[in-house]
Order: sequence, then C-alpha cells, then structure tokens
Amino acid sequence: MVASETRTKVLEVDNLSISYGAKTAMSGLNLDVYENELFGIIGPANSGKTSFLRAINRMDAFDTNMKVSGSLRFMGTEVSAWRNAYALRRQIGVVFPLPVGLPMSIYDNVAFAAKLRGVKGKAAIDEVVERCLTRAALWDEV
Amino acid sequence: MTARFAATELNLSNYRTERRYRLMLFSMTAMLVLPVLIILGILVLKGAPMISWEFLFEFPRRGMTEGGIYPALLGTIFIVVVDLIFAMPIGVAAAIYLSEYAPDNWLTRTINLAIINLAGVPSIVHALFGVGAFVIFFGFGTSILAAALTVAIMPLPLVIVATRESLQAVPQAFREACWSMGASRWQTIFAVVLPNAISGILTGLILEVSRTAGETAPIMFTGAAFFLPFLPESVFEQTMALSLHLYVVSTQVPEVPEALPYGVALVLIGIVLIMNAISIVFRSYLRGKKKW
Repeated sequence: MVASETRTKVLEVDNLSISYGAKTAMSGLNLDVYENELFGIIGPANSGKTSFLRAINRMDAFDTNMKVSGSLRFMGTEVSAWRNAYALRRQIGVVFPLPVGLPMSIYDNVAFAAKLRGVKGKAAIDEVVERCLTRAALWDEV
Repeated sequence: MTARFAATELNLSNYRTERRYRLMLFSMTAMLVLPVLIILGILVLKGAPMISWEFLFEFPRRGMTEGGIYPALLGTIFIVVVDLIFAMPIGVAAAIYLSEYAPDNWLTRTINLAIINLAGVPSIVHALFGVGAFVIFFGFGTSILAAALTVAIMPLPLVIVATRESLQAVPQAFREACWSMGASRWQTIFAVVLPNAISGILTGLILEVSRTAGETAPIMFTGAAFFLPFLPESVFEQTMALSLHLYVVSTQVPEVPEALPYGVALVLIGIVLIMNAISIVFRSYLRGKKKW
C-alpha cells in the first residue's frame, strides 16, 4: 500500500448494501480497488461475495428481487449512471464458478464475446479465437 | 462376520413393502398404456381393410357410404398447417416472455392464471368464441382460416407450458455467464437459451398437432363442412375435415359400411402419429446434441 493515493482508483465502494426482498445479503461495505491491483474477497457461503460481483456488473437488472443501495463507482462514474449497462459489462468481466463454459463448442464460446463486441466476418473472428486460445495456452490442445 | 450382514425380519419386511409399492405403481402406469393399445388394436383390426389408394385419394360417393376421404384428409392437413403457422409463434413468444422477461408481479400472475383457465375452457365454448370472433367479427366467414384460428387457441396453454418448462430447465448459470459478458437478454435467449430448449418447443408442437387434428366441435361451427364435392382453393373457403367426417359417417349417414368409420379413425390417428413420430425423432436427434 505504498503511496496508494497517487494511483488511480478503478472501483470505489461506499456504504454498499444489497438485499433480496426482505433478506439482506450484505450491508455497509466500503472499499477501493486501484489500477493493476489484485484484490481478493473471501468469505463463507452466502456472505454476499457473488451478490457484490453482480452489483458491480449491474446484473441486479436481471433479478427484480435484488436491490442495491449505497455508492459504487467504476472509473469515477456511478455504476447505476452508466447509460449502457451492456457496455459496462463488457468492461467488467465476471467468471462464475459454474458452468465453465456456455453449452456450445469451444470455438463458439470464445467467439461469442467477440461477436457481442461487434467483431464481424469469419476471418476476423477466427483471428480472435486463435489469439485468445494461444494466449491461454490452449490452441495446441483443441 | 456374515451374521452381521444377514437380513433381519425388519429388513425383509421393508424389502417386501418396497416391492409391493413398486408393483402397484408400475401397474398404474401400465394401465395408462393399455387404452392406447386397445384403441390402436381395434382400429387397425377393423379399419385396416378399408385403407387403400382409392380410400385415401378419392372423393366420397353415394352419400358418403362409398369412395374415399380425400377432401377430409386434405382439409385436416390444411387446418393443422394454418393452425401451426399462428399458434407456434404466439405460444413460443408468450412462453419466452413469461420465462425470460416477465417480472414476478400481479400482472404476470394474472396472465399465468388466465393461461391455466384457458386450458379448462370446454371445446364447445371455444367453438362459440370462434364463431363470434373469427367468423363474424373479423369477417372470415366459415372458412379454413376461422377454423384453424379457433382450434389454434385451445392447445395454446399446453404449448406455452411445455415451452416455458423447457426454457426454465436451462440452467440460470448459462444466462448469467452470458449477461456478464455484456450480452442483452435477447442475445442470451437467442444464443444460449432457445437452442437448449428446442426439445420442449417440439413437445409443444406435438401437443398442438394432436389436439388440433382431433378437434371436432370448434371446427364444426367455424369452417368444416358436412360434405363438399370439391377441394378448397384458399383459406377463406370451407373444407371437410377428418374429425367431423368421422362424426358424420358414424352418426348422421344411414347404411354406412361398418368398417368405414374405423378406416377414417385409423387415418386420423395415423396422421397424428406420423407427425408426432417426425418431431420425436427430430427431438431425440437434438437431445443427442445437447452439451450438458
């Protein structure tokens, strides 16, 4: 934590509470995550870890029961103020524990996100898939 | 050592009870199959001698006591096809909305209740609704279109429920994985949910076809004719239909040979079974491709 104030804050969480209906998943969370920082969250099951990730990603929009209150800023902007939630989610990846992949081929799994970001044409997508799988040291395996 | 694992009297009695209940449950299930086998057996036995090229592809003659059932056969196929064109998109779309979009509130609960109640409406009431709505209000007259629309509504709840169940059987985690990458709801539905729910949609299709082909009351008032000496040229004309033809030759026409109604019934069941078989084969092919 050397001179952390000079580094860029990527995520600022202020008094964040999440509830599902009458049930509170977590409350009063305060933390900052800085650029290039590896930040871990540990806790027992049902302590709100996944709910927190979903709140960052604005996935609460998909769950009418889920209510998020408090402040959650990504790159200085309140997450709930991001006009385009889809663009926000493309910036903040979340990998859930299960399933490992979508129920489609490895190629389609890798190509899926590229297509969402508007990569068009087979050659361009092929290139992305090869680059990603090579970086993950999986290209030779598949 | 063996004595320790020997079955006690209690174990044996549990085992016997288990066997008894299993046998009882199995026989109840087997009893469901019995009527189907008996119906098919009688139909094949009594109706099969009627089935010939002439029976299938000629017009009825001599007050429907002779000749074939061609116009009725074709009419039933017309009604089923027109019915599917309307019912499947509506049923599947409603199921997608209810499963993927609808929030859990009073409106959704009311819609669900309405769908369940729709399934309980007697077919004769549907028929009267069809007359009021399609024949008179929309001005389709007594026609294939009016008949198909009327019978399309009846099995909609089955289609919606079958589709919705299969959509909900797709694990939520797949959707979340998709959303977290920035996919919209529709992109998620289209790329992940629908391809994995296709077998349930085909189940809905099977139910729709079976119900539609066999319905008599709703088409009697809305588009099926007692007898027509010609084939319909558009969906705005009346047609004969197998189900009504079966009713007519069994109850309304004197001196019909005994085998004739059985022949008509066999063809009707045959159409339904063939269409079902096609979708079942297609469904199991798709299930084989399922990736979890």
